[in-house]
Amino acid sequence: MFHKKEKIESMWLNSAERNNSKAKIEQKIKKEIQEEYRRQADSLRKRDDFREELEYFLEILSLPISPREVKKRFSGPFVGLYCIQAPLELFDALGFHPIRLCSGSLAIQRLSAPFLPALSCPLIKSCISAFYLDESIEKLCDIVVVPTTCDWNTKLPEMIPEKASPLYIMELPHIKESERGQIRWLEEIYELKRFLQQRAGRKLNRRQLQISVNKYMKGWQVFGRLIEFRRKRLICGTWSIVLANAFMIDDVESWTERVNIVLKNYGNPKGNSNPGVFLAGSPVFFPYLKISELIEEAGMDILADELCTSERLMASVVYDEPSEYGLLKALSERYHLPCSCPTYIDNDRRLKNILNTMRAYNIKGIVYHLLKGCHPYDIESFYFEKVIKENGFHFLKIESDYSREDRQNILARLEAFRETLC
Amino acid sequence: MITIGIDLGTAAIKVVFIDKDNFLWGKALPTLPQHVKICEQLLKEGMETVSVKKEDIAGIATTGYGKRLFPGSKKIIDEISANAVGACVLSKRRARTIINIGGQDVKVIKVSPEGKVEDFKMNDKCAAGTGRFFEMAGRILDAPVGEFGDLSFQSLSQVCINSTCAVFAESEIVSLLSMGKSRNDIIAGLHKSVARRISELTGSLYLEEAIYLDGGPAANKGLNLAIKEELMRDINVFERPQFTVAFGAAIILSEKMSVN
Repeated sequence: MFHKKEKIESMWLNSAERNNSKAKIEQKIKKEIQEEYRRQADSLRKRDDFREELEYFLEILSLPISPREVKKRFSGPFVGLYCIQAPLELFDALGFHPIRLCSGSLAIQRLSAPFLPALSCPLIKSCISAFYLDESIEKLCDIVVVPTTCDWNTKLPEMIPEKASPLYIMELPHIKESERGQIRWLEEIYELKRFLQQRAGRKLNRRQLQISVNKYMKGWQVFGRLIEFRRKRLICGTWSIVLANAFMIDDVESWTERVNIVLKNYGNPKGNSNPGVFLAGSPVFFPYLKISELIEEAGMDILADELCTSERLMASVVYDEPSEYGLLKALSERYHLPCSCPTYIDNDRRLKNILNTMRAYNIKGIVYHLLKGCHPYDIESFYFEKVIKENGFHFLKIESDYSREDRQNILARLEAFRETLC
Repeated sequence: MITIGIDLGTAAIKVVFIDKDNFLWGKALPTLPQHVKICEQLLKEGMETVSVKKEDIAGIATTGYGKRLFPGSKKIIDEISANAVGACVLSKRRARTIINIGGQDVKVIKVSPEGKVEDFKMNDKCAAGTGRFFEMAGRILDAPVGEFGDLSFQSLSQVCINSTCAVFAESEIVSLLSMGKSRNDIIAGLHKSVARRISELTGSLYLEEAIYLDGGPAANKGLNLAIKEELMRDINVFERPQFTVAFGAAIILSEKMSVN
């Protein structure tokens, strides 16, 4: 499906004078965004556990404020992705550089605020705002792929301004553990392949696809090691999230190489015995690292998470049969079946995964993070709280947004939560 | 030896002097930007009243939102844990659920017989149903918050207040006044509205007996009655509900020092 948008941007003022005023406001907001990114990166650099080799990832995560650097650093064409269901390997095989379009910027939200419901998901607000900038990664993309996950994503085409890159919608089957759902998703993957071939002006080469799958496999292996390091407290939760966030923008080979370097230097366990927690719920993306930072400030270690901007990213594609069908089927399965996004109807897997991880690593509590307006996670939180407590674990739900003013309120709760775990 | 607890809250700074687990003295002053000055002023007054010298003081524990702002703190304690311990000692280990109405938040805390926090709920960034909410109402209704309880008992026909949002309730109160509703009826309506909000906050937390109410607004008997009716449970109120958290902080420090 190919979407052409009606004019929303005409809601921006028309006359030359008004355009001039719009440009001034945009300049001001741009400065605020740059300041927000800089402030967050600086605060990470000031941490005791900052190492020189982590600077690379901060650079990658700062790319959204300098999209021209993206062009210099990576070879296009670029495909912008929402959510995590579209297989990265397929884009790579057809010569596209996939970038996951996420944003944790508060400052940018002002650009889209007049056109969106007040209680919109903050992540969506920030992502859509980026389309209103004269230069952004979002606008750099040759195509933008949107799987119909949550309601916000489903309505995304309506919210994105006209000048945005062409949108390609993938219809996500919300029942996944049925043969019908899997067949439908495979059909969607084939349809995506046809669309990408058309855009790339060439056919998908089976061998190239296999090379891409193998290339990513190395990335998944390192991702697995990163998770293992975190479980053993060899690297902290915030840095793990930073590295995982960078995966969403970076070229997979560079990311793999750089993470390997980091892991080499992070071989010593931390000398403390902070209680371990599991971070669940809505995505956390740079520069919005408030939740993980506050959890650590309160004296807890995030030993695991299930965020779609962190551990859930890991697709770990393996294939039995290297034919084009075999590879595409493997991709279709790995990006759909294990995904525990709460927008699925049959999602028992999510809770089971969390409970299993908590038992396996002696994690006593779960911090359930909710972005205001993130309804699927909110809906699941009530049942989760009940089951998690019934299983003898502690549960703390924190609802927030990208603003900073609730830091003290959240910290107070986290500090008390820590006491319940001791 | 004397131990001191300071609760640097958003609405008031409370200082409590204890000897072991005996409450000796406590006083609160409104929170102003000069946190340290206010603390020092209260400490001076407390020392004079209790007749203690600096060398008789074992240490000071701080809690509340400004807990890190006082440089002389020997132990910084989160306000939820301090509240749990304070309520446990003051209730002679009877308290199982605490409802704390603070300056800008409401907390519901489940506590073990040993004073350990078992679970808790707290409102997100919103001043609905908190001390700030009552301050706003007191300003518009031109009535001291301390008299809200008695005034609400004089209500003849309680008014329904739909909003607990501190901003929207303000305009609702103004409208009600202009419609000729009596101040007492509006205050009774406010109590009901806050009680409903607290009842919603308790959510999935099972309110185990005995339930204790504390925090500044807990001194309001009208509000206590409304909460009791809304929760359909017996509610206990401490003699000095504003000081439970500071008291708890002092107890934690005192116990820690005696262990050491």
